[in-house]
Amino acid sequence: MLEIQRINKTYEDQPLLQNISFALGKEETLCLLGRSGSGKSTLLRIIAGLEPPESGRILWDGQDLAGTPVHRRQFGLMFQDYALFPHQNVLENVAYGLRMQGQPEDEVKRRSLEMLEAVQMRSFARRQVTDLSGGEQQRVALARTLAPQPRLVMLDEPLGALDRSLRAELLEELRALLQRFKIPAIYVTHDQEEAFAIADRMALLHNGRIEQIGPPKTVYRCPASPWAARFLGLTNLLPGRLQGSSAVETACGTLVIRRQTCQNFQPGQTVTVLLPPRVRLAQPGTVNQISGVVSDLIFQGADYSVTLKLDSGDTLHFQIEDEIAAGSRISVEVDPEEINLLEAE
Amino acid sequence: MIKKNLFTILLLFTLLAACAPASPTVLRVMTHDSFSVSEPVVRQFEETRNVKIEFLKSGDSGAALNRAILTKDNPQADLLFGVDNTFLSRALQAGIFEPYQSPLLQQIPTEFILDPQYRALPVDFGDVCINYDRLYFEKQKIKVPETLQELTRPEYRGLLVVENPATSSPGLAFLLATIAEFGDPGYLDYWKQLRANGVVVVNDWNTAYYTNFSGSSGKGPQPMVVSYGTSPAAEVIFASQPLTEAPTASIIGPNTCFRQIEFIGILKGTPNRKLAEEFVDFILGKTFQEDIPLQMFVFPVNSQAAVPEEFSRYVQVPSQPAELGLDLIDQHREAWIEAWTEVVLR
Amino acid sequence: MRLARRVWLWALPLLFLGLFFYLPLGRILIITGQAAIETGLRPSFGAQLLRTLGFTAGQAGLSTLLTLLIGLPAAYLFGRFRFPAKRPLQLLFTLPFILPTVVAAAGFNALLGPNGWLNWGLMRIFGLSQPPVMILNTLTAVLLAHVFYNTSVVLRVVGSAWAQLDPRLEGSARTLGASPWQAFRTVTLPLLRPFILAATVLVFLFNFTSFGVVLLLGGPKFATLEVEIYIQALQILNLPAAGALSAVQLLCTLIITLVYTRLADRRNIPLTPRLESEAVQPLHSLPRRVFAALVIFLLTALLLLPLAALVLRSFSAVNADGTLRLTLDFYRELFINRRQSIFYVPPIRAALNSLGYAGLTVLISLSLGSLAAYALRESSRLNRVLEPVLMLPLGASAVTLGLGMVMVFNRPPFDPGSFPLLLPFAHSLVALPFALRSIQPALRSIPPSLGQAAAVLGASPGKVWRTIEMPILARALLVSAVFAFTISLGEFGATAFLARPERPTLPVAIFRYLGQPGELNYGQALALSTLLLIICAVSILLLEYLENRARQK
Repeated sequence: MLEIQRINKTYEDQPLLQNISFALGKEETLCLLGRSGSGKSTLLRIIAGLEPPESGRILWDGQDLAGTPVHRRQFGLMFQDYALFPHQNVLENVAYGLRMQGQPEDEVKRRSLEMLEAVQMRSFARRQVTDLSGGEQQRVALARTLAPQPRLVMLDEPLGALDRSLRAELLEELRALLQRFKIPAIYVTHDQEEAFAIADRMALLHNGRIEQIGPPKTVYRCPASPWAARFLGLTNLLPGRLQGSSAVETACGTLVIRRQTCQNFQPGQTVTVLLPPRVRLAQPGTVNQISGVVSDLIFQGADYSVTLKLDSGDTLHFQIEDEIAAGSRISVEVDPEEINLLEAE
Repeated sequence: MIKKNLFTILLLFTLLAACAPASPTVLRVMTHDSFSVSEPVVRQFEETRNVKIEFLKSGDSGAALNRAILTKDNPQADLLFGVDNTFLSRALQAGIFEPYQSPLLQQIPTEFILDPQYRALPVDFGDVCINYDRLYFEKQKIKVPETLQELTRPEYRGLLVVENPATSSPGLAFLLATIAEFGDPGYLDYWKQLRANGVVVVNDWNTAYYTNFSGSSGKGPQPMVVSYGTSPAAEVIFASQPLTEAPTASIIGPNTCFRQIEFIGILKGTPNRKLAEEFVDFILGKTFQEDIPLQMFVFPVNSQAAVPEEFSRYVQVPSQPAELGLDLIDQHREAWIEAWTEVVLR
Repeated sequence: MRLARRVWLWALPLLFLGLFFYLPLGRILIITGQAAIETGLRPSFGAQLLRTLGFTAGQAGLSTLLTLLIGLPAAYLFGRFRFPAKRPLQLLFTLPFILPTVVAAAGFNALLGPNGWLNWGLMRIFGLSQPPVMILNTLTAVLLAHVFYNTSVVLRVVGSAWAQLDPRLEGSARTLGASPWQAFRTVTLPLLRPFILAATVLVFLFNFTSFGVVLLLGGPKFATLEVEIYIQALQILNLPAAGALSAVQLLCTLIITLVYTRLADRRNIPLTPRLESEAVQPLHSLPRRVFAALVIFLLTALLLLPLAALVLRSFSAVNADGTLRLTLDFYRELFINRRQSIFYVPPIRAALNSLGYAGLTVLISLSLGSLAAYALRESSRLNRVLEPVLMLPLGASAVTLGLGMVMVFNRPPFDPGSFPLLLPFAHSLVALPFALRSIQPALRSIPPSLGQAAAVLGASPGKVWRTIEMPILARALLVSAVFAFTISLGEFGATAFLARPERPTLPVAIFRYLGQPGELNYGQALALSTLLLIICAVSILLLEYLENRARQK
């Protein structure tokens, strides 16, 4: 299917994309995750053919697409703010791609209405797109992108501008649609929760490079770098030094680790220690006790979000189910199974 | 912002309206774009009479005349200067002038006094003549034509550029010269021959002189052009490097040139009749008359006025310019031009 | 309330037009109409009218078509791409618009005339004894000159809209399977349509009422209605015929503007205005570079070469043997009142007069144009009637209007002699439709939500205007300011009628020099024209600087 090989692109003499390579399997949804300005949208534009890469190749079924213009690639691209044609109504927008394929008019209409049905917008067919709400526009844009049955769809922050509850709802629908149409997809977002929800695999884009690529679970369990960990919301990072094979020395004492889950380090090597977000109050006599003062406490329903200020001055964030009081001094215990070692910063 | 600006403008508007000039006496002279006079000459008149002269220029002489006719019930000026003999009859018919028999008319040859009722008084005259590029004729060793008829000869094929009489005043003057020479409808035959001989027609004097004429700084392709008898003098005076000889000269054979005479008249209904008369006398007097040649490149009508040296040296004055009656011109102008257009342009 | 507001917005522009356009024009048409009824028109008048009308419309259509053919690719290039020397080129391409036709004709002569650069070069290269290119006094010359004048109209009106069009719309179309051409036809073109229509109607009307170009470059074989009006009114003194021709020309203009209003009266398409940098790309592929080179070459050949020929000519004098020498004589001579003429004006003074009038014209036409654009913001039946009323001055004959004006404004304090605003008012009549045509589409493209958003954020209507609409409109206001400025700076027809002789504008001063024989006179006219070009360029730079500052505020 789609294969991206060593794509490079600079913007105003700054490297924007460096050596980007990945492949996309059949019916697979890949999430491109990165901060804004990390080159995600540019990568989509390059894949779509709207911009040429400076070097590198884009292959489809082993065929180089360099000579294939945008409109022959059959790649759908949904822009961030949808780019609906303001001079056409909803139906005309959705029908656009089918018309370009030269389908007979009644077929165009039938298929467009079908697509609108699929996104629950059939009753809006004759409305002007400029009169639609954000969620409605998003649905129309999705229908428009899928209508011509592209062999790949690319979605650029499709839910970016929408409110939280609508986002959850649309995300669900989107996943269902992608599965139903069996189309490989590249989904660009800056929100890791969205990515976890929809991705078969996710790729983290950082400083123009792919920092890590893999299934969401793997990426979350084993972030490739401290940056990747932070980006995924894993903020409990401490510098440390590996002692032997099952202990690591940190500012809050020596912690026992069971095994090295993700990467292998040599004894004596400096590392970054990643502690899990979910812990419980320490029982007497257990290993890996970390103590500190509760500097902030937020009730979250099922548990508390606790900011723990260590004696060393570092702060860590934990989710704790037990009842505790702000300002009190507590100790928590960390399961050796859940400690990960990452490269030193 | 916008509203504020507009209010400012409106305010300005009313203020300007309120402070209309409160100066002593203003004498307004309507004229055309080509009118010019030396500043000291005007100042002298103004100072001796305690009057302020205001010139109103409104386009070419046709435009100025139209303006005077259209506003005759409510005249905008006290005098109109610049109606020439091709338009004079129209001005007289429209009744825009008050008669004034200036004592200075005695110094003016009677041939210039075309209105026996003295409503319009002659001021200056100039001849519209064919100018030729002297260098060209010397180099090519061709004889310079002396009559209009000779222009139809094959050796002058494609050598003459003229102006469209419908759009240009010298063009009209030249057409009138041919009518005076060959009569109506004989002139049309003549023009047919000219056309067959490759006469070039352009719309305005500027193009004819600066683009087509080889004797001007434009160095165009035609060595003969319908221009003014004074143009050779202007070529010397306005040369970028001093010249001892004019590069061009005029063909001044009998009936080859048409004499344009310009008139001044006091506009009917002026509240400053006395001053207007004094101004007419001033215009016809020696000081102004001697200022005329180098300002407007025409000759003064006052026979006592001296002409500058450049004029006597470089301007040839035809002894027998073509003549046509004022009324005849006015009655037939449109028909002549139309017939000419059919013959020469279609 | 709504209606009351709109009436108030309309009031000033209508009052202005009524007083300074419809009143004088009506007066002269009534007078000539009465005369025509009394005396009757010649029997051949009808046939002549039809012939003239046919030529006028034909050449206008052809010229407009050619102008669009060159202007639209140019608008695309300048709207969508960045490349070296873009700003200076844009500025240079604006200059032809200001040239009085006499001066433009001199430029064309210097370039294409029998003794012009082109023929000189061709004769040298191929050893010819006769100039091979004779296009002066042909229809070709008229068309070329119209393209020369009006390409910048298309470039400015369409180009600035193109720069603000969201490039993602075209990208969407492409990914949906549209070829570049299809994407252009189905997305870009419909969205640019109001701007293209506006430019087309402006250019067409300009060509339709063309006077100087046809008179000076077309030669005696061709006459537009305007030329015929001039001949009848000022040469043959047949005012009834001139009046009838003016009425026909006005009627045609009315029909054209009505058709235009009809075509343009579609749903408003709000476009989210974009920052220029978002839509503008570098020229990174070979075909695009070739395209850019081609467009710039064409524009340079058509727009800049005549200017260059003119400027060069102002620095060169002809020696007795026909060779050229470089000189500053003509410029030096400008500062000397050799003949002590009372009408002599130092170039600086003429320039200041011109700038003063042009500045006032900008102020008046922008103020009134904005008011009218706001009044037209919501389409209604009233607007459909009133819009052509605003456009009509574009189609009025300058000669007729000039005569009407001197008739109506004929006593102090409102005669040309004592009412100095009459001239900028006359210039504003022509500039107003341009201002309206530039501001209105931009205003319509602002989605109401922007203003509402600002209002919700606590902005008063005045603040909304200043902080939201004004920065977005800044570009359009600049475009119309440049139009108004250049129209006023180059205007000659009405100026000759209305300017006071002791306060001539540059074009009037240029014309004075051109009216007399002698190399120094011709040279001075060209030198003054060069000064006019420079002053115009500097002023436009200043306007752009002001716009930049206004936008950044």
